Amino acid sequence: VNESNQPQHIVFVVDDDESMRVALTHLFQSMNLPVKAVGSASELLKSKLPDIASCLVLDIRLPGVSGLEFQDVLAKAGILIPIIFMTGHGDIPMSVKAMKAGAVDFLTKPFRDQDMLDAVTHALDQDRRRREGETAVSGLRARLELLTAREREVLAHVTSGLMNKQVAGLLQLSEITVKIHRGHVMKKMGARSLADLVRMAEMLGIDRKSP
Amino acid sequence: MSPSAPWRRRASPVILNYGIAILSVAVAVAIDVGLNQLFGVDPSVSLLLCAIILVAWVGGTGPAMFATALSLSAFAYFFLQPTHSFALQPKEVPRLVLFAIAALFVVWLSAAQRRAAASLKVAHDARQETVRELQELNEKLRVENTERERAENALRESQAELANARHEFQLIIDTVPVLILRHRADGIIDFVNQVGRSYSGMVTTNWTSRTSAITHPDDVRPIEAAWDVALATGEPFETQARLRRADGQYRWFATRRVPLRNDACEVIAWYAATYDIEDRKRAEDALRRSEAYSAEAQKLSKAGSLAWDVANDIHFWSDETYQIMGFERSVKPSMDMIMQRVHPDDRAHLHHEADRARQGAHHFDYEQRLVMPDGQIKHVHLRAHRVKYESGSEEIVGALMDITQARKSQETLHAVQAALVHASGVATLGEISASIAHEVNQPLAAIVANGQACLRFLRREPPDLDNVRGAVEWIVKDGNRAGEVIKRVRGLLKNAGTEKIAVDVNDLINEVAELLRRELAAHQVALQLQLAPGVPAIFADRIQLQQVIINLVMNGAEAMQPIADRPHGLEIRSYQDETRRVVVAVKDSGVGIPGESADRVFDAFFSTKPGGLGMGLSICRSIVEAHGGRLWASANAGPGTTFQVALPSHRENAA
Repeated sequence: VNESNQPQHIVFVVDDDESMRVALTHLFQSMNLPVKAVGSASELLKSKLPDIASCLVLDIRLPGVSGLEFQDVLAKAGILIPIIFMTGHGDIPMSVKAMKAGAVDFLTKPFRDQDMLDAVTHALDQDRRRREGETAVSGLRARLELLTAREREVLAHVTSGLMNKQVAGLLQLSEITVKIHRGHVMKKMGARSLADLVRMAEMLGIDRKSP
Repeated sequence: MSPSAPWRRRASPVILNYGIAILSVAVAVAIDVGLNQLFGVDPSVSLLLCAIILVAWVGGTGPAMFATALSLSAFAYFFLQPTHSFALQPKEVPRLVLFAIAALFVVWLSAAQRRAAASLKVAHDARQETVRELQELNEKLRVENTERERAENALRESQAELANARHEFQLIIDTVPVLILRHRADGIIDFVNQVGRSYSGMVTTNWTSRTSAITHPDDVRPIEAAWDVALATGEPFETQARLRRADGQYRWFATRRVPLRNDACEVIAWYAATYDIEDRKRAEDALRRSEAYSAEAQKLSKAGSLAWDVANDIHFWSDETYQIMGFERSVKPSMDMIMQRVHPDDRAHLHHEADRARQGAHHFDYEQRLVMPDGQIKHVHLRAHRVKYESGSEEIVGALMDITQARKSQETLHAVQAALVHASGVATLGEISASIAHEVNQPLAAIVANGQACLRFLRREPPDLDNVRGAVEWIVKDGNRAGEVIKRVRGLLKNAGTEKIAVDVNDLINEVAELLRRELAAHQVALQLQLAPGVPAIFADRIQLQQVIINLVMNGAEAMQPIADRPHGLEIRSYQDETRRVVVAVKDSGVGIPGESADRVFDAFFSTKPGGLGMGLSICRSIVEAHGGRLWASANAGPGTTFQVALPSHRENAA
């Protein structure tokens, strides 16, 4: 729990039943988790989601757009918020579908508070990690932008495990020129070793075929 | 000639004639004497002669002779010397004789003249008579002649008529649509009329048998047998047989044969008239068949026929009617008999119907109970109407149906239907159980979550009692909510017999809306209520009526499921119509009912839904009708269908 006013994370609740919204609000407050409960999916989409670790507790049977449909809408909009589904009754095909679509958990009402707490904690962690990863990749991508076209080619070939001599042969350059390019790449990308550079290339999804 | 004429001639004129004779002579003498004395004229005989002539003319010979005698006397007395005496001087005698001769001559002449005249008259009279007689004869002859002519004319006419009649008879014989045959005394055919010849297509004139050659082989033997009998007894007889037409087709004919006898009473010929009875035969067959049909049908359907000639109070019953009424076939039916069978409570009604019949009513359709001798109760249904025959007489003709079995079935059906209504209530509940479970589960989940929150707030140091209070308030609220749901469900399940109470339709609709809220939401149905305030209460079984509305609402929701391009709007309306009935209308905007199914949606086992049982609407209709109401469907102006339930209001129902 952060001491500052700015919360580190938040739990969103979407349920058309007021009792459920109130009860979940109470529960998450008792867990010291910041919570925001709304009555429908569209209401949630209207409000701007804060850029902090968050998760969504969603009733699978929603009026209008159902929970599963909403999950799909979010995925298509590129909103990668982890979802915990609640259902009135254990509907196995529905839960399988939800889990396949990337739901974090599937809870049957009424649920144990510990199960909900575990699910939310897990979801928030997942979101936090995703956000951190996202931050690292965006740094690397900015560095990649600094490379010249030739340097990118060299990066792709080197990280795919080719020797300097082989790279020179492929690009019809002298071995010395390849060494110079490689030195620039290591410096610009801030890589401490070749292994470091290979990990970065992996994160950026670079390989020989897609320089 | 009158019979008095001879008397007049003989009696009266005789005296008169002699009188005339005296008078004439006297007058002549007086004139002579006068002339002599006044003028001294010599007395003349001429006046006396004139007197004699007059008398002879008028009176005849007798008086004339008498007048002559008188004149001679007077002549002698007054004119001959000495005068005034009858004494004669001899010289005067020749004068007297001369006078006498002259006088007699005159008398003779006159008499001759008179005879001639008389005979002329007689001749004339005789001729006259002859003419008259001739005229009479003539007249007679003329009359006779006219009569004869008339007779001749009549004879001529009758001869012409006879010829005509013969001709006509020939025509009749040849053209009546009857085959006419003559048989000899021994039965052999010797004449066939034109119709017969053209029917058979045979022109033979040389017959050799008693039975015509075109008779169906199977029918020959009975006819021959009949001939044998007839020839022995000389009695007329009748047969039926199939006769072959020129085209080879056999038709049924009836033949009647009568003997012709001479004065001695011997049979000299037989005449036969043969007429087509094919159509009659067929009609008879058809009638017999239809009677058989009817009898079977009546037996099967337990429906009898009856007719009542009201004017003459004659009843006609078919066998089955006797069977139904429980009387022997031999009994003559009467109103008293009917009355005797009819259930005492229904007799007044039967009297009423009979009076209607007597007053000329046309249609009758009523049910009655009969009490059979063994105490068994029969339910019968009578349908009849007035029939006017061509003869002018009228009857009430109809059918009497034993509906006892149907009645029993109906009662059973009612019981089954009631069970079905309950079952369907349970089924409806099953269909919406997921929603109802959710309805209960939702507050329970909220209660649990709130409870757990409370525990966590209480575990804090210090316990967060403000939040605990808020959570507990909600726990109470949600607990009550769950209880409400369970109460409603229990109501839906309650297997009470129909218990009719005053029901506020709007309350009922609100309750249904609440019960189905979740279910409708899951179907993306937006429910709208338009409830007219102050709708009078209806007298109904609350649970059953609720079931009807749930059914209609769920049907509407399902009808909108396939619709993707417009909102799923469902409207429940309540209002009172112009006939003061309370109406609940459920209007969807779904796929609608295809025209050809519109009439059938209320039929049992008819469903437009794949896998649908087809009981819902059928049960709804039975429920509504059991409440004296009506349930019907109509297509909306826009998409979808509206189902309407109209029920009599409580007050009207009680009235």
